[in-house]
Amino acid sequence: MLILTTPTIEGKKIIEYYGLVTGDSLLGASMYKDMFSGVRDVVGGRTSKYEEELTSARNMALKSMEEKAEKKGANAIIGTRVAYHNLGGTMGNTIMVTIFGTAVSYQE
Amino acid sequence: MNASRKNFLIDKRWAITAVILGFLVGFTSAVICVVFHLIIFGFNIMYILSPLSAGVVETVIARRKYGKSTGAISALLTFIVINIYGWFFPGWFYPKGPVTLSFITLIAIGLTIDAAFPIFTRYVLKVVVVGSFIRFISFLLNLPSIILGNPPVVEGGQIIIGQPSDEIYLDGLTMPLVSVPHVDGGEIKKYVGLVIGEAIVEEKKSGGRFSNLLKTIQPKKLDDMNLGEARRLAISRMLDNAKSMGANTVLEVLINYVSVGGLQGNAFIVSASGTAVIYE
Repeated sequence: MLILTTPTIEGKKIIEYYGLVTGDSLLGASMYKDMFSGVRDVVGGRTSKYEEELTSARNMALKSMEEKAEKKGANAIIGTRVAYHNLGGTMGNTIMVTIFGTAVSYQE
Repeated sequence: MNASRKNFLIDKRWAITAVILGFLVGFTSAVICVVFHLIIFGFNIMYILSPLSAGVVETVIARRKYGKSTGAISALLTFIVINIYGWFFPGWFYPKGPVTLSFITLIAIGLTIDAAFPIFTRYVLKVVVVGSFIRFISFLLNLPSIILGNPPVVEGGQIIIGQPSDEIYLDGLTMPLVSVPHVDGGEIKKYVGLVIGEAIVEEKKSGGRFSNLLKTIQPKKLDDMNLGEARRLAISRMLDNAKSMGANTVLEVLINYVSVGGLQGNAFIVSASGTAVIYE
């Protein structure tokens, strides 16, 4: 599966557009989990641990988008965008990762 | 000068009326409560009723006529007047016992302060209380090792941005990164796919809890964040991803910033995404 952010594939012809495909995942760092596992909150702790969790959340979103595109019979996703949203309120420790793109199939 | 002051008064006339009416209603209800001895559980209900009614009247009038809320100024005024009367001049207006500290008085004071300064009480509840609790728990967890004589390693307060991955500087690249989908004068040999890099940057923390509390109302400064460092890290992580997949450059690079963290402090997620390609 080819995943691109560009609107076209240079040198290849797109035969069919299947439409929008999306994938999301949530990342929450709860207070209790933080306290006992040593993974502190974003603020005032080990950020790199949090970054690892962020990467795995993003990979999950990417995977679910890819599965949807495969189900539609596409062999590429073009115009992909990745966005991160903060859902946390005053505590601010829930993060949503959304990925969306257009599923297409192109001539090999 | 005179004209502008007149305009200001005309603009704000309903807001001022709302505050005054709210205060009058609160004051009257307090007087009624005192005169008729409306006491429940040994506690005069005016401490709860009067600021509440003042706030309700003020907000309703302000919403209807002024268009937006005025922030329950009259509730605060009523609260201050009632408490000065209750604590310092008991029996001056009408014979009655002084206010005593009880559970209900504490709740009433808490409720009124919450109505007047919502952000302050949120900060106290969610940051100070929770923070002290977490500190207490971690102290308990570390207690055995302290007693045994090897104190745990405490991390410093400085910013930790992971390990710096390979020091890739943008100028040293053979192929420049571009933010457009197509580069003239060359050919894309192969598309490799989506590559993403992320970094989290925190606000620099300095000083104790009090200066942090002050920071919640002060405007932010760019120096407080190490944004440039985080951006460099996000881009170099993205490049690492691309290189490990065999690409030699990244097209259509987009950089995004999301603010996370609320009153506890601020942090930013910086992310860079793009399409890795082999380009000739």
